[in-house]
Amino acid sequence: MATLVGQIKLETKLFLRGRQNLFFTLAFPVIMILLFGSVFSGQSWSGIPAINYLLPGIIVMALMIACMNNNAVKIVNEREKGVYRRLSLTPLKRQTLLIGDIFVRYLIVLASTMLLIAIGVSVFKANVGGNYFLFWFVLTIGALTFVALGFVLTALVKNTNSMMPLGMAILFPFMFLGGCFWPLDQMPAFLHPVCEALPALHLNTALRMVAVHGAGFSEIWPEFPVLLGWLVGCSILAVKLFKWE
Amino acid sequence: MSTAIEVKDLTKIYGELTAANSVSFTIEEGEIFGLLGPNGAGKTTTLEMIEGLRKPDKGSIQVCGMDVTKRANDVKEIIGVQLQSTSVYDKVKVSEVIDLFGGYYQRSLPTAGVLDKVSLADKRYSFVEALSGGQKQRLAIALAMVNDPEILFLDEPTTGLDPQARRNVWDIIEGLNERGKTIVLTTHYMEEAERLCERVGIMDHGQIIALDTPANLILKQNLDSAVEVISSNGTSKEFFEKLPRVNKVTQDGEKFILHTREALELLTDIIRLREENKLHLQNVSVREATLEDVFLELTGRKLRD
Repeated sequence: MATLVGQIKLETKLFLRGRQNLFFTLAFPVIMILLFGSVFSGQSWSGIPAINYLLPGIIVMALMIACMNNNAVKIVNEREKGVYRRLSLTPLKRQTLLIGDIFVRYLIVLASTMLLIAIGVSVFKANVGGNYFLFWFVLTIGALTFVALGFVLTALVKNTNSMMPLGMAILFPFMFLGGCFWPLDQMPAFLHPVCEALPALHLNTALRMVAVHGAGFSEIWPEFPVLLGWLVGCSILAVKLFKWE
Repeated sequence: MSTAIEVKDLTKIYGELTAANSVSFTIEEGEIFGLLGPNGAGKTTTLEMIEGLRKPDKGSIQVCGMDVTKRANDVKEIIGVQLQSTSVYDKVKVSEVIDLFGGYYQRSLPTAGVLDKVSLADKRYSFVEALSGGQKQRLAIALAMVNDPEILFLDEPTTGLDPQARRNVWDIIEGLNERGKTIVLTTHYMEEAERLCERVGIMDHGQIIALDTPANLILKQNLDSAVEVISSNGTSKEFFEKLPRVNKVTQDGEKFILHTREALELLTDIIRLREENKLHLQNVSVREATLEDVFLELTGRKLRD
């Protein structure tokens, strides 16, 4: 337990000391909400003010960047440097290392979500209501899903230089087709099946229904099969493919 | 004295390459043991199998009486390892990373004491990424000693360091040994092996081809002393081999090493022959045989090739 606390402290320090980390997981989403919030202020999408639509979308974007892109780059970088090799010579257990990593990713998601909500509400008068517990629950499922996907991605590349572009190649379609910035009905019909298959879309829809429409669990349940499918599928793949060296 | 490490019949195969071929040796408690060999000889593979980092295909390894493959976790508590290319987190301070590693073990030394031993006390608030090569190497050794291990494994601890930094590392290693620690190291440097190691094992092509004290290795090869001649006008090896008193000649480019028991007499002969045969000798020197000669003799290669 003491080692886990130590590992969490270390991971937190390492995160906070990396300017890139802070930029991509916190500053960039803040810039996006300020930009999109200003550009689309006063507009109405799918019958709701644009900011109410955008806020959950940018929360999901920040979540994907923190859990998938930024974490995958961190892991590949540490693997490339031989950190895990060195650690495997100490009694530190690998599950401690993993739990520490995932825990800190979760903290980052909570921080970026609260920051974005604070800006959305105070600057753009976004309406955030609904069941907070349910919102947090959906957010947690989303965080775990993208952490798992990030782990899978680390197994597909050799070094940090190839991790970054691969992460971007996944992030961009997930953002644009996954309903982060505009509703599904604004996209051509032939793309809908693709969008429907992405975890981002269902995470976005579920969060939006809870936060904007005050939906309960029974109403967002249809979003779960695809989301949980990705979570379980990626977890199995991660366990099978993940390489420490 | 009891046995610290016992390796029997250790074998590791990577596809076509037999990285370690039936390696057996014993290391006593409190000994500084060196594994020498050219790159790719199997030193690192052998070391990493003893450390538990790689699984052997065949053979057994006992560390302080424990089977490494069965009691890996217990072994980890009592060994300290410096890998050839250790790198820890960059954005972490020296004292933080030592604290962190200390926390992994059931028993660990106070961070301040460890930093003092490797002369990094004044760098304790520096980020790891800001350290020089020599400082990073000393940090790697500090991390290897943080659990006050019985046995330290140091894989090329001084490669890439300048002479001053190398001497610092030697002092640290000798200090550890004085406190009763068993040390297993690999090196490219003969003078390092001669200065530090009580016994050395010479590895080539995955096998231990000689194992003894440095002095005995030199004695056994009958290389009492060597006359080194650099000849630039294409003198043949045979020419030197035919000289009286020359036991053996090893050639390394234009440099001929003439092994002899009567260095002074041979030198006189060479100077006389130089005038008679118009030999173009650039340099002639006499020296006692070293491990380097033994190595060249046994493997046909220079250590740093």
